Amino acid sequence: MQHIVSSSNTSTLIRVGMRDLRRDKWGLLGLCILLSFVVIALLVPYVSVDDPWEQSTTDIIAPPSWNHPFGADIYGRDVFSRVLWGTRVSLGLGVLAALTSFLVGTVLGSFGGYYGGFLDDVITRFIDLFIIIPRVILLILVAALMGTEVWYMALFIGLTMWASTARIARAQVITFKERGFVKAAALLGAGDIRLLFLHILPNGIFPAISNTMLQVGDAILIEAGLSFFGLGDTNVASWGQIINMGMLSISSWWLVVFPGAAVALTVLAFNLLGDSLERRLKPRLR
Amino acid sequence: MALRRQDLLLDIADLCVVYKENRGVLQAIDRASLAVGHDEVVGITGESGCGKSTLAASILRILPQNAEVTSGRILFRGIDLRSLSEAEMRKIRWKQISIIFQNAMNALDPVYKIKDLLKEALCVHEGMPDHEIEGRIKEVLNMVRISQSRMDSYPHELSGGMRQRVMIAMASICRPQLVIADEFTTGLDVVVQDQILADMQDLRQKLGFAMILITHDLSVILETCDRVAVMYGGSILETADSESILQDPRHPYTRALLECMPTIRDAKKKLKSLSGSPPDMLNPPKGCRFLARCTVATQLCQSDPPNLEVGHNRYSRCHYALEQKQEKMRIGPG
Amino acid sequence: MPTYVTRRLIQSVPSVILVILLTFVIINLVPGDPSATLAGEFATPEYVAEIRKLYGFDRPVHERLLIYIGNMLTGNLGRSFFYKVPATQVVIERIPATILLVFPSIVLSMVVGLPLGIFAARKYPSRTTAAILFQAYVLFSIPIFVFGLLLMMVFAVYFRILPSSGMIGQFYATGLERAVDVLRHLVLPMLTLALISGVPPFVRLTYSAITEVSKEDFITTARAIGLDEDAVFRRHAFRNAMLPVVTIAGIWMSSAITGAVFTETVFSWPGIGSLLFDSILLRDYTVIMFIFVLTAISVIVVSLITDIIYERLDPRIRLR
Repeated sequence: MQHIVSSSNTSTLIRVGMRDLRRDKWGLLGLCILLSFVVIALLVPYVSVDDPWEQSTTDIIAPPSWNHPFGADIYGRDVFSRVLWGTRVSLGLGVLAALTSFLVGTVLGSFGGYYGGFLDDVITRFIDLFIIIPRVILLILVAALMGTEVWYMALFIGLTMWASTARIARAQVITFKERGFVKAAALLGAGDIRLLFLHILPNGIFPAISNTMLQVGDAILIEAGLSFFGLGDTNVASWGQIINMGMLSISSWWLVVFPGAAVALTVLAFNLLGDSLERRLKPRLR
Repeated sequence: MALRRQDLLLDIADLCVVYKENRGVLQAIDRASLAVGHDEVVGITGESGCGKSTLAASILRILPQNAEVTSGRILFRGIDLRSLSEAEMRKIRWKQISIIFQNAMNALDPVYKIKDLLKEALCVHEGMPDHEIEGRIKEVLNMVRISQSRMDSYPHELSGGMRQRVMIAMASICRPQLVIADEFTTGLDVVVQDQILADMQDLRQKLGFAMILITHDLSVILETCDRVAVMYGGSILETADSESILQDPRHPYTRALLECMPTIRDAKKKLKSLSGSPPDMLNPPKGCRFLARCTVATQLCQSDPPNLEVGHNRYSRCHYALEQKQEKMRIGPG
Repeated sequence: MPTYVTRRLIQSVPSVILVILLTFVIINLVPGDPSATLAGEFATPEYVAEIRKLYGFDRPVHERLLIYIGNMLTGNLGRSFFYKVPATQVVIERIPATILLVFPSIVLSMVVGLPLGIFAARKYPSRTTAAILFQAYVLFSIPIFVFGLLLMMVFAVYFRILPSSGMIGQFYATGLERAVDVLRHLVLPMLTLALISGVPPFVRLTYSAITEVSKEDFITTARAIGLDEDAVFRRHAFRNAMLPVVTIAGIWMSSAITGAVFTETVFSWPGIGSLLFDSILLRDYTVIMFIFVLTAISVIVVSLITDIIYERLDPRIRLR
């Protein structure tokens, strides 16, 4: 009975989106790169590479060699394994941050769009504010004051990114609020929350999803930046931290190039995928 | 009233236009032929998607990038427009043939004032001194009954009817020989529609141009046009003067259209409609375009009907066009 | 028109207040003793007491808020522990250097980005378009500090043709010599900031704006009138496409500032960015806080200005 009036073209959209992905070369490229990183992240604990924490006194700042394909950092740790392990950190953090942003943004945006009035005014003001303020500087303040553990960082980063998702969610809710099938459901007695989450959002959520994908890339960039500033979690192997060491000893190019390429490729993958999703879903939603 | 070939202003013969899309090649126009005399109003009518607007765009050669005219002739005053270079074609656009689009809101650039839009339409072609330009603009605004005070307005400040009048003004300002009106009253309420059509007649009297009036509203066509062309599935199925087509239609599709038209005088009866849908132009059916929905079709109709001459400048693409007594089309209730 | 300006100005005030409140919330949420944390790990007991008094940590929350707002309005955030002078002063001294870096970068970004975006849009669909857009993607994905370091490694360390850090190499040069010296130091940071933070957004934005506008009906009208492609583009497509570009400029300012922070750090360019970096190392929180508030407010101001410019340009908004 609940789903009679729900115009769920969710599954159709997913099928159609996936089908055309094959023709979209860039989306495919992004997907391939991403999958490679995911595979690395998942398999690393089971593959025998050097211990990323093992320090050495002989290999301080060693350039790439057979022993250390990516060289060694100032503590003599193997950069190659640190880059590989860093995949787990970056992907995990990026996803967590993006999820936080998605949840907060969707909820706030939908409520604002749905209820309108004063609540909407206030929420819109916050959205405008968070879109504009320099996030990284805010995060620097927060991280410096409150500590730099990875999971907190992911959360905070997510809490600064919610605004763009909120804006999209709000616009979608406002559009769908007036659609026939929603009004029909309301007449049948569906309450506000039910309407929002069972009817409006399943149909309107897609632009927010492609935006969130882009945000994973953003989050990874931000984390790298913060680590580069020395605000990273020293208990994990993070790409940004390696680059931070690279700045201190400028001729050790391997400390910059390898982790830098890792970040660039991962972010590129998310950007390509996110934009490709957006292209795919845009015309069908009009 | 017979039109000799050399008297024709516009003579389209066997035009074929395709659209190249991702999913395949769409045959938008398939061997369409149309003739327009110097002082005629010719109406083109048909369902949505039958190719009317594509035909209009083909004449002016403003088709989108993925469209291509694959064959046919478009003779304008004896010259084949297809043979002209882009530069030569530009001289013909607007000065000799102009077009009025439906939905003038988007057709007028929102960042320009009305007077600047009119000036642009005029100046592209004629190198005129300023005061003369202003004179012409005022004159044409007068003719479409728009007050001078609106010269400095922007398109979004005008009502739908007024915007349409601006488009008409723009289309007339260069005194063209042929004006194509593509669904230019669709979307306006009937009262405004009526006014604008009347204004158009006036304008024709004063400036003396021929018109191609494209609309899916059959009643408008029958009221205002000298001759009518009925279009379906990219082909022109029947051409005749308005009287004849009303009294004695020679194509099943035309008959069906006339049957479906509700009249204000008849006793109230259920609205009729034609079942089925227009043919898929990606894979056009062999034989008569209308075969799938024609209730009087026979085996013969599986082969392409020729364009039979039924009378003076009357043509019909139906195997049975020449038969005097035409069977009533079986049309169901709406 | 004055009404629009005043309206926007009034609208900006709550945003500024929110920024200040946000900072207040953050410093009050820190775990442990806020005055000690805020004073930093290297602080002396006297400094801690100073901070406690200034921010009112010895008072209840509602009083604290008032004190805080008062401080903000009078520009009194306390002394920088490291520099021993008011935090505001430390920061303000560094602003000119940052402006010297950011503004030429913006100009360079537009000069390179806009034409590229236009070119990509007009050549669509073709390999050129794809190449340009892909480049934009790639540049945007590289962390700005990585790019900066790479440039530095190649041009300053390996080839040694450009200086690697700072703004001034020759301390005693004056006039033209001094100008050239500064310019030489400006090249790498400016390139970094422009190529990573500036060019890709401009290219992508211009490309999509023009592509969208080209689908509009009035473009067909322009062709039907008999204008050649150049005129159609110049008179109609371009003018309409530039409108969304202006709106984005304000938002983009924020990422430009962030980019400047990283760039300055990498190249030790003596502006606000490298000050921020140093302050992090020294845990000089008063400075960090002021930098945040200052940059946030500047972005709000810039977005206000771009809104006003946009209102002048788009007749559909102007006559509300």
